[in-house]
Amino acid sequence: MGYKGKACDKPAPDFSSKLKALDAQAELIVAKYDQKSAATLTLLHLAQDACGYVTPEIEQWVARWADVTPVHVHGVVTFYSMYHQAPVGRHHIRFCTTTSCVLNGSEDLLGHVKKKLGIQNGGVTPDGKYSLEESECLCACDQAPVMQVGDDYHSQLTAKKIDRILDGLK
Amino acid sequence: MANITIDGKPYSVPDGSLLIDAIDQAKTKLPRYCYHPGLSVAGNCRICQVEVEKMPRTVIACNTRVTEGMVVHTASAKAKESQQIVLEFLLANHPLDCPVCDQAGECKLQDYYMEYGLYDPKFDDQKVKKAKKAVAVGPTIMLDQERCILCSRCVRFTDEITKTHEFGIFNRGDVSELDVYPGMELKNNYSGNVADICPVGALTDRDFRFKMRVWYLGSQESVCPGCSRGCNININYERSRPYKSDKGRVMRLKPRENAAVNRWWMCDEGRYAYKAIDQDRMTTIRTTAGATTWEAAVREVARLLKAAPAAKWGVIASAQHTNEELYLVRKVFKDLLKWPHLGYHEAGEDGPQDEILLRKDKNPNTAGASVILDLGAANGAASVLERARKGELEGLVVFGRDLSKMGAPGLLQEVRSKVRTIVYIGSAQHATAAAADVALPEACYAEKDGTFTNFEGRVQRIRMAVPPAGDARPGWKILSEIAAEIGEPLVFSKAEEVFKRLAAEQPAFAGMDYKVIGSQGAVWSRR
Repeated sequence: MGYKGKACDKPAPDFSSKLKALDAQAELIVAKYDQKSAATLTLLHLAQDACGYVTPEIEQWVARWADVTPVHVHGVVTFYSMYHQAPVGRHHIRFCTTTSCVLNGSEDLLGHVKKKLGIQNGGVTPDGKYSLEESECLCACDQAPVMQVGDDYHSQLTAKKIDRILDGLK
Repeated sequence: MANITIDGKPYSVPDGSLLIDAIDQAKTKLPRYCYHPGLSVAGNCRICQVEVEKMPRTVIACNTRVTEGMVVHTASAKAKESQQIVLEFLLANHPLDCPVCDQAGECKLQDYYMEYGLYDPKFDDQKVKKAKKAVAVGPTIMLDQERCILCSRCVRFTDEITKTHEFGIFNRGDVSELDVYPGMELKNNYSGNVADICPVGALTDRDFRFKMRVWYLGSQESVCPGCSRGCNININYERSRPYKSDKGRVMRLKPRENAAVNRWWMCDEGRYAYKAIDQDRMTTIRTTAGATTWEAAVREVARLLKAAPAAKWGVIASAQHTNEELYLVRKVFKDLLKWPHLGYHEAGEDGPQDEILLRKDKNPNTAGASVILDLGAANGAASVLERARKGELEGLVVFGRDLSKMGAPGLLQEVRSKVRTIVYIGSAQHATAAAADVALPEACYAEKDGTFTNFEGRVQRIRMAVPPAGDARPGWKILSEIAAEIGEPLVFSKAEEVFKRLAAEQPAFAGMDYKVIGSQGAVWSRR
């Protein structure tokens, strides 16, 4: 099942207790900004890190803290590629498809990843371990080709190196 | 004040005005999609490009403030080129499905292409398709995402005017789309306005869609009779295709700008109430003696009223009537016949009210009725009906109202069994009309001239959009003929003459005439 595009079609789990635990942090975040609405992005990351993806419940929680409307938060969530509206894999791969990486052979390497994991752009492996997202420039052109797994950058990729990285993940 | 030059002519405008407002005041044409004087400035459609001397590039007039000495060109080669390029970008992903689009004829993409576009398209890329085409986003509005140019007027309307926050723009870049918040419906009492302010065919009115191409519509200025606010409206009716008249003559109502009353808006309750103009209408004369012509009917009614013992008859007047009609009601029943039992107001008939436009008093002319009939606190229809119910009255004249919808259930049957003669004069065919001995068909508000006084004392004109249905006649005409037949020569050939007489007699209306009232109304002089 893919995570891209529209919100998850499965009923969203209840994140209320997780969000309640974040209230204290949210209060500190909001206090850092002159305008509460400026905390929207940070609050979304906070909640997504805790819950895995953004559900309408989370949008409403953020809207309350940032003093904006849920529809405004939804606009933000859909605008940025790094907010997910459905679960991603345990290891989320963002694979660069921009110029420098393409010149260094990223197209073949991306094909390799897709074949290895058996998923397309926006897909999640059936065991929920990996998900793949074709990304715009990851700002490491000198190290091309580049991919990001979770928060880690992996550069100067080769098929072998990719195998080693992905196989080494738990 | 700042002195600026627009297309070679000097103007003096308040400091800090928006350039687009200055251009509008100068009555200079300039295209715009996202700018709306009733909403915040978004500056995202980019079509209102103008050339300002000493600025390197053209700028958008809606997000530029005037400065002293500014020299602006709205139609120079440079300005026109910018406008043309912006339009081409706006149309890049537009489906150009005008033949099947209900907005055609009042679409700003069409209009501006003819006025500012006329380019040879340079885009040969595949258009980006959006998911929702002709999807209802609520009971009144249909959404077509691919026609949307993302001007965000509807988003700002639901954020700033109704504060209901249904609309948003989701996703990014060329896949950005307008939609309602997932799981939400556009369901508020002002939803119809988003179809009005949508400059393209993205949001269309489900009620009006595909009923009629807009170029077949006639339009007449009027005032909504739905509540005591008196929102200014245009009645859009069809006149050129009578063979389609089975669908009714009035096709839709549109709000008409009046800064002092409704600004640019109207509520859905008023907007969709137009159907009463063509539905359930009483169109024929019915009397006990079987009169079928107005002459005979008027003679019969006048004879009936003249012979009636004043204390034994009552009148249920209506605040749905115009000032002119209420003046004649007063003349005939209060001054001439001197009937003591006269009422129009019904306690407890109030409906919902909100902070935007809607008033709880659902009558357009309660203020006029209170001043013209001048009944003070004894204005209740209930006390007249109570007398009728107790059998104290022999006869009752009812204007427009349906007794079956007033007071306790069964009131109409009770009154009917006690009162010998009921005269009904009104436009709607309902239980009271059916139960009356004499029923005279009256023109509705869209079929006559006159004035309403709103709750703030603003006297506003209604105008005839369509001729009276069937045999119906305007109330002022029926009343003036009855008065003449009774023996008081209150003969008027048009509503305007009635108003002149009213203005001469009623201090509140002093100094007013139809010219003074104009299209925006005139406020009562303080009594």
